[in-house]
Amino acid sequence: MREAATVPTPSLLTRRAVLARLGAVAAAVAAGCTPVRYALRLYPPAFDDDRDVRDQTLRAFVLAAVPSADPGDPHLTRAFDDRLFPFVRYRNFFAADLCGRADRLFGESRFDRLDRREQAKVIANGLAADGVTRRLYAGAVFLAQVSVLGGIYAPDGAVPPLGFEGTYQFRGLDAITYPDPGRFLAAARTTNGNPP
Amino acid sequence: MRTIDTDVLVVGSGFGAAAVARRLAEAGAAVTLVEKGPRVGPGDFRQTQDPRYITRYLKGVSGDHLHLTFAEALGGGSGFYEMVSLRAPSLAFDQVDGVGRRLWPATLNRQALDPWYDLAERELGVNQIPESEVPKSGLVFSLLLRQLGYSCERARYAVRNCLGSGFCITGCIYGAKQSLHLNYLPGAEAAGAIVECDREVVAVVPIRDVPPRDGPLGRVPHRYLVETRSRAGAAPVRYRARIVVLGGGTVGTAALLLRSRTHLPRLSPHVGRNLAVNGGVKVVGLLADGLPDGDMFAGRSHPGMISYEFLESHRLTLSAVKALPLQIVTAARLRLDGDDEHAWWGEDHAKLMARFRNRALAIASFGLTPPGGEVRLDRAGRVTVSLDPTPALQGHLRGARQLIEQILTRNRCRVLRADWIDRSGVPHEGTFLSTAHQTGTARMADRREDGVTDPAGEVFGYPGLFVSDGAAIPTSLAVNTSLTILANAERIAAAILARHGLAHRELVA
Repeated sequence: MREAATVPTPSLLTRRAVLARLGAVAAAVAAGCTPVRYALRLYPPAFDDDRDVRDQTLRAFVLAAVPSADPGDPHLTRAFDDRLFPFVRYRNFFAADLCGRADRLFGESRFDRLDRREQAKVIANGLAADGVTRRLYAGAVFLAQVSVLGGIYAPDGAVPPLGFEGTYQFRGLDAITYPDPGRFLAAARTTNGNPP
Repeated sequence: MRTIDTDVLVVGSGFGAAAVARRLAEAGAAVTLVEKGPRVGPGDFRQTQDPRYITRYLKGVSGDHLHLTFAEALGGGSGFYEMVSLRAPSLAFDQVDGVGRRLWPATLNRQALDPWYDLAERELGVNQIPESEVPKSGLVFSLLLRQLGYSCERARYAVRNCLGSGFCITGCIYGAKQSLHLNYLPGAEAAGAIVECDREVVAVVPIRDVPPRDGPLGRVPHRYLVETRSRAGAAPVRYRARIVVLGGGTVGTAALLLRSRTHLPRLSPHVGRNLAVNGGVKVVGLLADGLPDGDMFAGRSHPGMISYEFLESHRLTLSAVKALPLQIVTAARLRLDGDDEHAWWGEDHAKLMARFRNRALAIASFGLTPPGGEVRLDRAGRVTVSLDPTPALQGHLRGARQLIEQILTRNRCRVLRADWIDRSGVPHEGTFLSTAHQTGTARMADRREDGVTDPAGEVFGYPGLFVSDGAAIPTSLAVNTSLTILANAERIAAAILARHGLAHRELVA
């Protein structure tokens, strides 16, 4: 059995170095140019070597960012592995940064071991950091929302947290409208709906 | 490279292209229609939020202060639009430029377009939504206006036997929405038009000194070479055409003309400029206690109601907005005004979103905003867009927002804070508009000094080269643009036929 209980904390210096490099080439981040990819390797190797730690970190992150997500959803962190989204390149670095902040704020180097309130504070801390980090955290929250609340991996497109059933269920007009539309309709200016 | 002769080469297959292809084919011309996107139809559509499916057909381009969405697929936007089919208000045709000159050609106004609107509506089966089918969100929107003494109309749609599945924008799998796949395109093919998909036009090149030859269009020479490349691995093909009709959309047509400029030196400098976008705002409110539930997800994609109450006073129309969940989360960070700045995620956001389906109401404005945008090519030949956020435009948007917020708050609704975001989830700063209602980049005008084509859609200086899509429409319309583009394309087709002594089958009938 592997020992992966404790993740080495990224040193502040290293993190700063990473962010400095990121800041210098921020304009190229979207294009994923080589210097950025190189810079993003400057984080603890645990997140490359131990996929379980990374996945548990990201899983905890998604549940903290989108608390209405179903913990049993098999697609909970799939967006972070999906090459459709550029974030996949920053996934390991992001997971490492979550743990680094968890350690600095709460003395716990595993983000997923914090309680939900503490996890939220870690995320808020990232969102209040320098510009590049803020953008990284905003992108991660956005991706979590797209994944969970956008229903992009649900086979039927359903989004239970929003009460969206996904593909049409043939419930008829009663489910679409009210039986007494006259109660709602304002006076019409036109005879056929076209503007004058 | 293989060269194929055709009487008419139509670029694109959307509202601006399909009508011209059909009418000219029906009149006996050899018509080839070239579509950049894939062949798709009701049998291929899906009810899904899978971004891989959506981005296969819907494309976007972002730039300074502006994002434009457009379709690349057979049928153009008709497969993926909300099927709202409204005539442009008379006021739209009376818009003027900075020195008071009318932006539309002198002969074009609502009255002149009405016969073509009639024809387009017949072909698409456009009808006003019955009272009994108006979605709940539309009814609640109407109620808010009614309680303030304002008017509101049931909107008009190109649909037959609508089930209200709510997936109009991913393509109607039931064939209820009257996309061009069900009328104009099969009509064109039945009349002999050849439809080539996955084929992109890369340049339009005039041919000099070609002697006239007899054909269905009379003694007209082959005047243009149209170079294409396959996007599906087939060989490039060059078409030699007597008439070329550009109908690849406001962005696509501008880009093609700009790429062809070295071959078309007499093109107006207006190509790509004068982009109009129906500038507007969206405001989301939380319904007051006591108001009936709306429903963000039930019923057709467009919630059925539109108000013309503020056309004269504010130069805009208002309508409610529905959206699929993916559209909601990719559009804006939402939180209650006054809540913590982080309330766009986490527990507070979850609570808000749990109420969103039934208690949120989104209202949008479409304005008669000036044509202040531009489509350009960068050094690598890629399309870029931009919008000039003039004080006048910002004033219009501010007024629209205040108006909608007043409608909500006077009905005791709470206004939600919506920070509109880019593709990476980061809020836009300053003025930023996102639309699929772009027009004007090769606008019609009475003189070359004012536009790209004459009132019949023929490019100034290039006989036989026409623009028939949204690019030709000179202004914002304050309503969805599809029906006006289609009506204008019908008019342009009739003008081409008349010039060549050919009969328009529908008009003869």
